[in-house]
Parts: sequence; C-alpha cells; structure tokens
Amino acid sequence: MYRDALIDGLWRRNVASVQLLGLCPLLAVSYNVRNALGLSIASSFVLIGSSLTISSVRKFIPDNVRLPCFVLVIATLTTVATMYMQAFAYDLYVQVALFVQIIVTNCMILGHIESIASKKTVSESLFSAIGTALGFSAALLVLGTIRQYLELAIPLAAHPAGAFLVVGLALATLNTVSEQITKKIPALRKT
Amino acid sequence: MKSVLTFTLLCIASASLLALANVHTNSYIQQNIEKQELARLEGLVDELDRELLCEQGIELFEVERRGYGGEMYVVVAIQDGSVLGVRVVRHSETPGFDEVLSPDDWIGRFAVEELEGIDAVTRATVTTSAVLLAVEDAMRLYESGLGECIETP
Repeated sequence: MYRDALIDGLWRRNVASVQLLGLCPLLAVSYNVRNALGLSIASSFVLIGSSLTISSVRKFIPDNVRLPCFVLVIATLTTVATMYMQAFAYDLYVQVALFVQIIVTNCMILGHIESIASKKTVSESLFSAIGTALGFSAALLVLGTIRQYLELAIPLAAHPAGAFLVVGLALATLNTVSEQITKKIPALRKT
Repeated sequence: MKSVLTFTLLCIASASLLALANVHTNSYIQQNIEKQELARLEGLVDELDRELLCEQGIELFEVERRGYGGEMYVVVAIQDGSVLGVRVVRHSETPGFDEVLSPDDWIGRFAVEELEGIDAVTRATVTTSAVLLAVEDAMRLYESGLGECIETP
C-alpha cells in the first residue's frame, strides 16, 4: 500500500507530468534550483500538513461545509509557511513570495484533499500526500535544474516563454521514454 | 447546527495556530524588513549620518504616497534645492511591475536628470506617478524649511 502510494505520487499519477496540476507555480518559479527547492518545501509542508489535519478530523466535517473547511486549513498552513519563510529565509521569500501565497489556490492540494484525505484513513492519506509532494518536488527540481543550466547556453530558458518550451519538451520526452520504461519495469505501468 | 459548530471550532484552531506562528516569527520578520529598507537606501548618499549629511547640505525626506498596491514609503535626498536621488524603501507594488523602482531603472533617473524632464511610465503609471508626487511633496517640505538640518541660533 505504501509502496503503491509512493509510486503513484512519483510516477503513475505524478501531479505535474501526468495530471498536469499546479502548473502555474511550476512554470513561474522553476527558473533556478534554489527557488524550486523553496517552493517544493513550502508546498510539501502545506500538502502533507493539510492532508493529515483533514483526514484526522474527516468524520466531524459535515458534507455541506467541507470545502470552506478544506480551504481554511490550507490557507492557515500556507500563511504559517509564509511567515516562517519571511522570518528565516527572507531572500528566498522575496523571490517566491507570490507563489507561496497562491499555494492556497493550488488545485493539486485541494484535489488531493477532496479525493483522498477526506475519504481515507490517516496513514493512507499521509503516504499518498508524501508521494504527491515528492512527485511535485521532483518535477520542480528537475525543471529548475534544466532551466538554470540551459540558461547558460540559451538565455531564453530562464524566461517565462522558455518555461513553456522546456516543460513541453520535457513532457514530450517523458511520454516517449515512459513506454520503454514501463516495458522494463511493469510495476510502473499506469493502471 | 453541526456544520456551524465544526466550522467555528476549526476557525478557532486556525486562529490560534496563526497567533502562535505570529508571536514566534514577528520579531525576525521586522528585523528582515528593516535590514531590507536600509539596503534599499544604498547608493542614495555616501553615508547615512545625519551630521555629515547636514554638513554637505543634504536633506533626507521620507514621504508616504499611495501606490498601486498600497502605501509606498519614498525617501528623497535633496541638496541645495535639487533632487540628489530617490529610493522607495517600502512598497507593495505588483512583483514585476516594481522593477521601475530599482536604482538602475526609472527611479535612478532622478540622480542624473532634471526633475522636469522625468515623466511617469506607462505600464507602471500609478507607481511612477506616486513617486513623482512624493518627490513634489519632499520639495515642498524642503522649501518650507521643514528639513532636519535646521540651524540653531
């Protein structure tokens, strides 16, 4: 079960490369590794924290106010993350402030809570959240690395237009090679 | 009734968490903001020492003006009736549109050009107009002798 949740998050149902969710911060922040790492940590904290909170109180949340409750928890944790970033990593905060604040509206997190954390047990949703967070962080870090070093050769790579090009090419490459990879490792096949 | 109760409890829990985090981080955040404000003044004058500035006849004015995203705090350095330089130390303008406020962009022109020749910038009209108004305010303050370097008889 835990193995499945991790493989799902990292590969089979990766939020960035398969579900294509949370692309706004992904495209905007990934122009260098440092920013990518900062946003990964903040998003992972909010995703895992809110999943844990919601799944542990899910039986007490009435269906008709579930969305306000979810958003309240996510917004609270996002604000906490913003405060700590502002206090202990101010240089990074100045660079990524806007995109940390809009974690609140990240459909990756709300989607995860609506479909998993509000329905499954605490440990299941915890592992699923860790898997999803790792998948999103991996995508951010890979893009951040590619764009930071590609910029040395092609300056466009660090600009917004370059973000779309790099993401498009990366997805195309991933789709091409994923068939070969799943042939070799059947566990990675999408179900 | 149950939904109201649940939501209220959740709100109380969230508010307490935020209050705790605020108590823990507030002093660090204020320090960081002050450090940044000082860093933004760099290059405006040689030394941020009041007596030294007065000796050179430089007056610093901090003026508040409403920009696009809220209050902006503009520091204007005036020497012998002309603007020596302008810096915005604190603002909440939209990221990306605030690049006109960096010293090697639009706001740097105050250091080299005549005030009359500097116009607002389209795409950041509200921001740049607010800075221009702030500079006018500062000039008015200077002319009415409200600077810090008032000679004591």
